[in-house]
Amino acid sequence: MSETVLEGLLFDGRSAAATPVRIAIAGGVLTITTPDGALLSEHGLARLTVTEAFATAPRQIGLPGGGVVEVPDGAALAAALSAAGRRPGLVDWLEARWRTALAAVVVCVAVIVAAYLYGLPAAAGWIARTLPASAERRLGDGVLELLDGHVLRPTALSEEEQRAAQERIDEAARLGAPAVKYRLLFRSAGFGPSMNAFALPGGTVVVLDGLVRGTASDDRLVAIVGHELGHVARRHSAQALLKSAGVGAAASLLWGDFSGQAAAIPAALAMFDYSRDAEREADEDAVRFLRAAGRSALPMAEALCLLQCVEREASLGAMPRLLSTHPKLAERIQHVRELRGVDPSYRCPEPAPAGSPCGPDEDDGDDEPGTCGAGEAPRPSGD
Amino acid sequence: MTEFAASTSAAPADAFPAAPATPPQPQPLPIRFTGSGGEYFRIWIVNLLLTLVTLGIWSAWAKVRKTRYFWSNTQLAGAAFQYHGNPVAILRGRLLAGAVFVAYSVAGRISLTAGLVAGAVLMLLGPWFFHASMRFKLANTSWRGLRFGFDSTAGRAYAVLAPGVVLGALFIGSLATIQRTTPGEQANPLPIVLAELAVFACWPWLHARLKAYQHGRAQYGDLAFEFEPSTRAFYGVYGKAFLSALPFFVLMGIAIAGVAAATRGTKDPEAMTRVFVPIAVVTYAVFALAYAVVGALFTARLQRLVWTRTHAGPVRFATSITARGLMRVWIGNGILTLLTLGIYWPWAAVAIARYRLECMTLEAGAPLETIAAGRLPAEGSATGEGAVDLFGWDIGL
Repeated sequence: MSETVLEGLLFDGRSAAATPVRIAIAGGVLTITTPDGALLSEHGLARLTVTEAFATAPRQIGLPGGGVVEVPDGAALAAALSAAGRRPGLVDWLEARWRTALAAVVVCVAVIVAAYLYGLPAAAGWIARTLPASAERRLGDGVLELLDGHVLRPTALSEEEQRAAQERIDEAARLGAPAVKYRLLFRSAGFGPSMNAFALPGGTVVVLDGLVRGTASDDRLVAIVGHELGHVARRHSAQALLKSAGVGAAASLLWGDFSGQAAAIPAALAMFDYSRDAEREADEDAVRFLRAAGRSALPMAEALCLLQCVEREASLGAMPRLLSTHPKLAERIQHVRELRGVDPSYRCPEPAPAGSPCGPDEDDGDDEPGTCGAGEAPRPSGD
Repeated sequence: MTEFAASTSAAPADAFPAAPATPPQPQPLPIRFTGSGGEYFRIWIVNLLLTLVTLGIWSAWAKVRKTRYFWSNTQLAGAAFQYHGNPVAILRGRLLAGAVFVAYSVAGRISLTAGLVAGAVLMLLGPWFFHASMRFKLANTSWRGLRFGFDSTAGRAYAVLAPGVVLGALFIGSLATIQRTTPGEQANPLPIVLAELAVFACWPWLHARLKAYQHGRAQYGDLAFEFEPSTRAFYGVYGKAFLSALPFFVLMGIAIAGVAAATRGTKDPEAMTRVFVPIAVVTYAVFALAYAVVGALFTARLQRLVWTRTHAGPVRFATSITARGLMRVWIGNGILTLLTLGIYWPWAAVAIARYRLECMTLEAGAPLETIAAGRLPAEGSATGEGAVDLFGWDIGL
């Protein structure tokens, strides 16, 4: 094995002066000589620190007395060190290869997906279960403040309408969910379909004007609020909020170069993106709620039909459906129908053709898009 | 310059004859950046993965590796920089700064008063964080075997940054008075307007003060950096940036007024939702463009202003950075980074570093051999560094 001789610059650590030197590595010893071959110093390899090998960067060898030898040909130094038995660290090895880098891309994606699918819900569920009620309420108040500032507007309902809706819901809740503490709030949607209601952490249920007006004469409102109370009792909204907060925190850690503050509103909206299981549980709660309140399960199916109709209508305009992200409504209708109490032959009312997609009367005159729910749903007899 | 750099790197020692017979013909010290996007991508992704699987613990080591990559690939007059930051110190700093940050976020959620108190405490810690961060950054960077340093004390940091803390307190106080009004009551906008005006009026002066502190207290070995006072020039740079932003403000104002006028008559929400998306897209595009244009003009002017006024003994600095060049680098790399969901970021970071570094020129009026090691302690605390990272305060040198 022939001894490699490398060119370098010696800095003594006492001044910025540079001395051109030659270095050689043999038998575990680094020998530093002048270009003429005069010996300057010798050091055991074990006592030296060597900076990482980068493709084009010079490498520095730290000498015991504080001096530094800078070697422009990093690759040749790597070969000499390797011949002397000094191996690069594991991370250096990983960083130096395209194959490991591409594998790292795949594993990164897998880790992120797994953390999102399994780790995050588990962590959010655990925190939501251990969170004191007062802290949960504060979380909800924060979200409400954010939504009020950007997405929601004050309600346009008259005092009379508000009182009537409140009474109907309170009466049902007294029987259907006596243990759930809740607070009803009326708001109108700043944009998008307003045929909706949603629960915030801590038991605040926000009912949008369109829903109150569209269901003034039947129990669909009660059914939907029953569903939201299911989310409240199971702390789904706190879990969803924690999940979206977790995503936000992780994103700002990963891409720390970009600001995370602007993500607050999308995160608050993403809160309403419950999992399929959460929706199913809340639907079952709603059906139990209706039964306990002395009603049939049918209004729940009707209410879901109504949401489906609104969703279809919204997707006609090219509006991102920010507040109506309930997944897979057809599947949920099917599930509610399978629960006892709904005539299995029940079908959603067919949308009327031409002009208004979902209801017969068009001359409503209020500010609702379309007429979903304004028409009386056909009811099967004998329920 | 590239050609010159190539010849010096072949024979780096020749760039500095040991004993100059005739004095000071200023000697150019060429800067070369040899990093490549592909190589940095590999480092970035491997360290990202390790950070993920260690739940963030590795981030301190990742920071050291990434910083070392950039410094090792920066060659000044044929010698590379070296970064010595200790990952354990950085991890400790990050944990402490993280605790402060969590306390601050939690306080804001508990009550307004707690949030204000936490904000005030954080602001009071600010100068110390800044000072500690500068110490750590510079003390852990070396070139030609000598360390840089930041010759200052916490007391001096407080003295320099006190006006900023006072203005910040004024601003937070004015916000608090707005918050305290009960919902029915009409808020008095006067205090907040006055506080904002004070902050705007003083901002360039504060920035000049900060840069003078940052550049004026830096050291290389026993060579002290100096910064010529330049408050007037800072006001000039801010004024020009404001003027260049004005057309965008006017444009946005006209667009918003136009949209408002066009949609006032319609009650049809369908029509509203149809115009919403294009309006949002155009608004974001205009904002991004304004940010790139005004940001590039401001950054280029500021860099030129700062570096022409900085010198370290016989070494003078200058930068040929231009707004047009910066815009080209930012917009091209920004678009590619967005389109690739961030995967292009390492290439972008390398391209931006290359542009900024290779625009710099240094001239030495005396041989560098005369510079000796300084007497500053080797390593500052990394807590300030952690805080500066975490809160995203940009104090790029």
